[in-house]
Amino acid sequence: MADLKLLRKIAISALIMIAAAVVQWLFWSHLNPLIFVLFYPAVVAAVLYAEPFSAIVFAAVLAQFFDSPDFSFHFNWQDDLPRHATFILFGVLIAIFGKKRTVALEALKTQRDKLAAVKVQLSEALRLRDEFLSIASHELKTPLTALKLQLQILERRSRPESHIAMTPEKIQEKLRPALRQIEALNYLIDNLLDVSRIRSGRFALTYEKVSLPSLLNMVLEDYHDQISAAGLSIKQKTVEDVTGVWDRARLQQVLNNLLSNAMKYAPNSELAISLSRKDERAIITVADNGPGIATERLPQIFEPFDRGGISHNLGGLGLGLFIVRQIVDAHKGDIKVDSEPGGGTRFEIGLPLTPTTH
Amino acid sequence: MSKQKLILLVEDDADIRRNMQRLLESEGYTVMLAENGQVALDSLNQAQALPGLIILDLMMPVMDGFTFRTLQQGDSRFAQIPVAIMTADGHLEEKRKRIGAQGALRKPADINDILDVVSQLIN
Repeated sequence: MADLKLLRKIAISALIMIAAAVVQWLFWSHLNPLIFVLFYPAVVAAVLYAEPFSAIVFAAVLAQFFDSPDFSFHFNWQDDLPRHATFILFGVLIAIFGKKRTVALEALKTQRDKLAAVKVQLSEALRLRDEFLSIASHELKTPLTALKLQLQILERRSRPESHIAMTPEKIQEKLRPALRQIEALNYLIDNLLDVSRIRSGRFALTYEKVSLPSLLNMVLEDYHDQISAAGLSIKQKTVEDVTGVWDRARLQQVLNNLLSNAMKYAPNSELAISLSRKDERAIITVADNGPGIATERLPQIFEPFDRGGISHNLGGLGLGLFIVRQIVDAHKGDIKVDSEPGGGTRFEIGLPLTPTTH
Repeated sequence: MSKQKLILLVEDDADIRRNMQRLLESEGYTVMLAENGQVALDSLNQAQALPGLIILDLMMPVMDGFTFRTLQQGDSRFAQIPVAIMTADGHLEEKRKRIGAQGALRKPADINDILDVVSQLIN
């Protein structure tokens, strides 16, 4: 495109030069080299680029051009001033309109660039949304599939014509996984709702006195089976009983999410969890010695729908750390992450012991 | 048990795997389990008898269903085994065609549909 424009400009310039030479030849039967040097480039610049200075020079030289066929630059104030002034006025007008046109063209170009940038952003947002929908439907349907199979099998076996005797123990055994799948679904839906709450600014905390070590023990107990299934060994060091005023359910969610991330991304590794106090703040660190996170991915891990660049497959919606960060922020705390490929990942959360007013 | 009654189930979710296995075994099929495409390929390579059908999940860690299918079709020993994909994805028919599978099941699948597809493809 740009090349075509340039070619067109060059072609027009050449045509102007040729036309002017023809005119000069017809009027005076000779070509004046000085006019070629001064006049034509000015004409070309004024016409093509509407550059103010060239336009004025163009007008001035044009006056001379018609004034003296021999290009003597003879100037008589009384006779020539009105005509020269008229030409220079033309030059100024060309310059002004040319400038306006240039400004308008530039504004248009800026607008176009902005629109192009918005378009890129929109299509990226659209792509993320589509990807998210695909991930969300996969993640939601996985427990749903297991649940449906479980219940349908149970239903078939409990029919009178079924030959398999359903003892209460067997029914129990079949129903337990079904309940677990409902919990998994509920957890996913809660996460989705949290994100929608966060995004619409309806994320309120309910403060109460919370003992961090007992909360942590509760979470570890809840996850006991999954932790051993993931081959994770937990090293817990609590320096002191850290108690503060926080939102209990939200803090539990923070611990849940960090723990489930460790199970997912650093299985068969050692997880060190420590709780301590420093300057009216509770410090929670969760460190694994798993595969770590690539340095260039670190800035994105707290973004919603990010899954550490590991495509699809490990499961989850990519919302865990986003929610963790939002909860920590709502408590006016901070979260840091240290990681390098092969060197494990370490999260450190600092929380004010009591709600701060600022 | 004839070799035609053998099914290879490739699915990453343990609960789905276990339930599918129970369902299929209760209908008299023998089920080989694989939690991803790589494991499935390994077990095909080591199998005494080849399965008469592969039920294939698409989104799995390590090796997904698409890669598995490509490698399966590229191997003359396994290329003829019919495949039914099982996925939560909305564009089921499009996915089925793209992957060149003979059958498709949308998650959460009805057990009657599962058994229909299985009996159609395996016979």
